Amino acid sequence: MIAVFAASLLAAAVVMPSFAATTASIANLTLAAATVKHVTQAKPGTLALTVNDTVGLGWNVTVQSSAMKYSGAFGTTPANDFPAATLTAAFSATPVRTLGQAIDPTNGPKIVGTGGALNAAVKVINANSGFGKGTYTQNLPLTLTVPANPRQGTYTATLTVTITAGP
Amino acid sequence: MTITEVPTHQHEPLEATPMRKRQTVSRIATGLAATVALLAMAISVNAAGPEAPKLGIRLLDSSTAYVNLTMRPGETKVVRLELGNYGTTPATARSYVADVYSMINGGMGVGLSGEVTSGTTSWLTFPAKTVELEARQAVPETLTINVPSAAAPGDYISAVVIEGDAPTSQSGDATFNQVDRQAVAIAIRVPGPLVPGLSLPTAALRTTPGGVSYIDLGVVNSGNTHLHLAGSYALTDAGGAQIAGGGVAMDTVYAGSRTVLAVPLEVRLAPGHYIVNLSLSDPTAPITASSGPLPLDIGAEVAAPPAPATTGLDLAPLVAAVLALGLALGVAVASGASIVFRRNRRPASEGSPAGS
Repeated sequence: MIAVFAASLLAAAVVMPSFAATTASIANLTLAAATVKHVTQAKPGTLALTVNDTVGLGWNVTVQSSAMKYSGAFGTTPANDFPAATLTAAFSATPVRTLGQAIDPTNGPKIVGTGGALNAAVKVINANSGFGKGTYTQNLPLTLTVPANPRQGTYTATLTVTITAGP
Repeated sequence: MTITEVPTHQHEPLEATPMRKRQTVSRIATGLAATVALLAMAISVNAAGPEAPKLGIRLLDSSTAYVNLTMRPGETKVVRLELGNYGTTPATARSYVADVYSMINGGMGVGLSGEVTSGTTSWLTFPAKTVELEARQAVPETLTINVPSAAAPGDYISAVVIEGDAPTSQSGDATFNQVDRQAVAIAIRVPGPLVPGLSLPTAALRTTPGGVSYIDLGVVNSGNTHLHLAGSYALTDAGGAQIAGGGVAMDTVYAGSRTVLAVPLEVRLAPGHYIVNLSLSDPTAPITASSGPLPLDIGAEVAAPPAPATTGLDLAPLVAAVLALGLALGVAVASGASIVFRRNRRPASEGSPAGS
């Protein structure tokens, strides 16, 4: 029985990752209610970013968006899409530690970047090497600029969240 | 975001009888009400989606966060890594290599899946693939680096990426998909002289659709080594008075790349001629560069304030007022037509012979 138990443990060790994980994801997207108008509208919202790191070697997180693709009665032509730049990130909120290493004012996790249009990757949070080992959350203020006279239908964007490690 | 449409009212042809006229006025009113409802229709936008896959890359032969190698021209090395699913549900992972670029304000930007690769990425052998991973399962992979025999000395960089094979869909009225990914740099130094190069050639004003303005200052790393730059800038008007300025710092600007230093602008620039001066240095490279006076000419159309919804021209009240006026006018016309109709009928009935 001991041999069988040991074999089971060995099998588990082969297939299980080391749990030295560094991941980032977003959730709880909210945007304020909009009203159809003949002028552009700035609609504020937020994203909740969560970073989980069990390595402690440092990381950076970026967010970018695709164009908001239109689908509806007016046809799926690029002219009906909202450009990706209509979604902009403002200065991010201060990161909050959920568990793990304490936040260091200098080495992070800390706010980085100045926000900007999400048609290009925008930096939002980073931790230097030796810091940011734990779970942290950060609210990202967003603004969607709805163009004047939008087509009636559905608009879909893809947000890409990238956690990087590099020089 | 979903925008729905109010059903279109079908107008009927006008007929000459008074009853039909009254019905027509009523139907016009219904049509106007539908139009007003369309203008005032609210769009509710709120979404919260399922948990995205938690995928990651771990280097098996190194305790560093990324691959950092010194390799000579013509040399080949194999990097062992692990593609893991750290989540609690099975996931399909996609892995690929991608170009690295200098982001706005510096830092590691990584090309998206399916984008064309070039440069250092062509030194890597790691075909894009998808892998089915059970919860808390990992699979080993290898990545081969071949430095061309003609490679010049300097710093080179690329990246290996893991992400979910399909975007995670956010439910609700706001339709957003998300892709969560991890990118690990493949940094290679080819030994030899490191020659830093830096130029600061351009200045331009950029305003996002949301109305935030930036001064974009061009930064070109023309050398063969990565730079970590810091310095200061000053914005002055044509008379030499400083409007904005202060210290600035950038994340890594990669060898042989160009990007911009984006400085948020707190003040709105009136149309006119401005000058920007930028100075950046990297003491470890070492290198220092100054832009000299960079012209920044603001035309009237660029300097015009953005049109936020709260202060922009909102036509809905005006349109509603016009429609209400039209409705009142229609009622008045219908009433007049009714009176005329009654007057036209009265003489005919009163003048008919009693026994006819």
